[in-house]
Amino acid sequence: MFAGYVGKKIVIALVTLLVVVTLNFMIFRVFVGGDPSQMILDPRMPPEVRDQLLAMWGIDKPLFPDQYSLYLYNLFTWQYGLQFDQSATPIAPEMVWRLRNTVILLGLATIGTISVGIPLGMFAGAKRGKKTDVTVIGIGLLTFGVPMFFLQLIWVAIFCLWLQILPRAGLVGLGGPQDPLSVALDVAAHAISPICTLIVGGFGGWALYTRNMMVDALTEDFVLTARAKGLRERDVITKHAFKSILPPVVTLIALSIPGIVTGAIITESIFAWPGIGQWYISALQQQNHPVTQAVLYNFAVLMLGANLVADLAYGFLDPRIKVGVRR
Amino acid sequence: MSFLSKPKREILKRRIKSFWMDFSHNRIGFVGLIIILGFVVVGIIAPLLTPFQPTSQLFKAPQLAAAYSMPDWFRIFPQYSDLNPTLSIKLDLKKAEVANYTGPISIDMDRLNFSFAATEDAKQTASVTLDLGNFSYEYSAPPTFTMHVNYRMYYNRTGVKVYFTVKNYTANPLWDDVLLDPTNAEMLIYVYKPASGPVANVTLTNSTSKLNIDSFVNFPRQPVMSSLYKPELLLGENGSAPIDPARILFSQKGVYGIKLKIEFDNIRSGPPDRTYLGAFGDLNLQTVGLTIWGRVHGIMGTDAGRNDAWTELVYGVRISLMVGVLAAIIATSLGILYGVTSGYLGGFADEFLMRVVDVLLCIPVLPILLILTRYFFANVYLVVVLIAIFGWQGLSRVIRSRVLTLKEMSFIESARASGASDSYLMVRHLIPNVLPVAMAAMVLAVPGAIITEAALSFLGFGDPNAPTWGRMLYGAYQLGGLPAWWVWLPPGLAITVICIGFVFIGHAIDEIVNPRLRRRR
Repeated sequence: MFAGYVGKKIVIALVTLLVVVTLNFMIFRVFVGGDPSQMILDPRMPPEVRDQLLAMWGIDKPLFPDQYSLYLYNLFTWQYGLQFDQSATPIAPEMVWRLRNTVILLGLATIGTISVGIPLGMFAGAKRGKKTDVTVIGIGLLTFGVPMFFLQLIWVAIFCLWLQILPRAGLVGLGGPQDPLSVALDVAAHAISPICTLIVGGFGGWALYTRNMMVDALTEDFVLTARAKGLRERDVITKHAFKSILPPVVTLIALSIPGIVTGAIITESIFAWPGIGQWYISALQQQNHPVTQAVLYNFAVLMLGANLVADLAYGFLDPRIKVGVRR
Repeated sequence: MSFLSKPKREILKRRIKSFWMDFSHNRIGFVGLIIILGFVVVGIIAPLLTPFQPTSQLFKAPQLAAAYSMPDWFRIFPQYSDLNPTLSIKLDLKKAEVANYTGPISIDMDRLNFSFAATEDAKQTASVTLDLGNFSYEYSAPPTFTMHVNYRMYYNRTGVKVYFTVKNYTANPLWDDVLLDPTNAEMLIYVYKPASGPVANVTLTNSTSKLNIDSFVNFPRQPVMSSLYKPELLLGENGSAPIDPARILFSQKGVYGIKLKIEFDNIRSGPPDRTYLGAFGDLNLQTVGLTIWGRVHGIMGTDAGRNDAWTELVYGVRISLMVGVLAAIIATSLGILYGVTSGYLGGFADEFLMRVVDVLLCIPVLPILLILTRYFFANVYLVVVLIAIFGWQGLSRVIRSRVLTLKEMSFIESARASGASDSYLMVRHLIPNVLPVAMAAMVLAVPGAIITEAALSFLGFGDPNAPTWGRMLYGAYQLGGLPAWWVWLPPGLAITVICIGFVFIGHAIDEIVNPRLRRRR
């Protein structure tokens, strides 16, 4: 049963990937279209150079099957093709370091958010009705109302513009010392603002969700049993109640992936963090279609992968699925 | 409500009444309702609250003030007390006096007509200087100013230069020679026609003695209409950052005088310079104006486009409410239809429809919305539809699971036994029973839609014609308006408060209609 469950999830993920990839192709090659040689290239460029560039991009051939197969080949070999610019720069090398930057930034921010939010929610749920609980509910509801970019603007205005204690944008400052330690410190200083704002703006939702699950779980009979057997309250909460809500919490982590993607685009744009989100926006503005396609593909793979992992983890953590009871 | 029989109407009335009893005792929900009602009222009476309509030309630059000007009431603070509002200096040409004239020129001050006719085959110049009066300026230096001289001209082989002079009269009470005054407090516009070429940029140079603006204007065929001059930027001394000439010209408080000098000659510019016998020009002055743009304006200052920020904020309520509510209604309707259909059909169809939802849930929404708004629709209504299209999947799952339990219940069984059709069952029994849950979800979907639209506008991908709150924040982020917190903080707070209002209401409805949550209370 578990194998069937896993197989089904994988098949769905693959179908979704195919849908997204095809849409990705159709949108840019069929609906948006446009001749890149007219949009990007210098009109004074010699025709033979132009033809050569068009051949390098592979857009001189018919749409189906040549362009589509080339596109699929490029995506599945993680090569992504060439940028729409004067020199047809390959996308893959830039993608590697940009992806690294994004993963560093959002990985740390997500870990931070979760490790603040979930324990806080657990604590609040255990102290139901007390001051902590009310505060957590308030912060959680506030989180749904405050747009992340507004919070980040306020942060930048206070810490980078008014107090001037944090760098405002970019990955590293200009003209600093080049030894690895200084560079690492500089990057860390630049990462403080985006990571802190993502944590501040994000932990409330996690805390509220965990708190609600906790409150529910603590009314269950098995908690009463655990208490009746004289377990310490801490053990009741962590080993019994929290363990029972682990599957939905893991699901939530997966469901937060779209939010993380959104966060990548907006946060990286605000702080000029050279990751894939910022790249996506600038590629859209410059009609650099291959880059937009490549980043979108990565977003989709990221989401699908996370969803798949969450589903599998759910199946693994929830004994009802593991042993094959119908949900 | 005519489709309901009387007893059913009674039941509905009672239900709504009991819901309202529950709701009005829910403190959070009540606060949320007050907040949203407040916003609705502001949205309705928006025209009464604002001096402009966001669609009117008046709302737009350049009639208001400089970009990112402060609110007018900031002047109660001592450090801002002498910032200038926008000053339109009224120049009445009827009261202009001829201060000086030379050369073969005839002057008709009633009709404001000046005629030049060359009488010799050598260089001949004629000029007239008009004294347009004084005004007093009692503020710190303004950010920028605009002056314009509007005239009509019939000419033949004649060059014309118009000098518009603003001078600090307090510092230099004597106008001995207007245009060669060795102080900084002088501004000239040269207008002359080059041999060919389009309207060039206004170029500015800064010498130690005076500020010159050479503006090349290509006069079309007769009659000639003049144009508008905006001295925007001036290179700072020693190549420092550009500064506006207004900073120098109006650096001192005091009385300023304005003069206008019109100069004709019979030399057409550009090589070969040659004179023309019988060259003539007939210039008719229409309007002369000077506007000193303010550092303060209105209730909330101005945004990057020099529009009235207060008007944008107030009208933004309408757009935000419209976007949020409309998107939530569409998304909820789609979710209900899809969920009820899927749950009611069951079996293979249900499985298939739910897998479609799984697939749709895996699509990264914001990136797709960015593509669609960038390349296809940048209209706020279409953005609403797009947000709705990507917003119903989660709800449809909830509705479907509800329907799965509902359709096993006996009242559905008995309705079916008495011959009810599928569509009747869905419309009259299933949908009404999932509505309460859907209502809560709908209200809770509003903030998401509002924030998504704001995010699109914030990134610069929204409707360029709609004055949305997101676009005001875009100005802060993209157009260098971050120091002008008085422009971007209010719309940000407005988004926050309106979203929290909906979250509060949704939370309250959820508590009332969701039996699980109700038990917990």
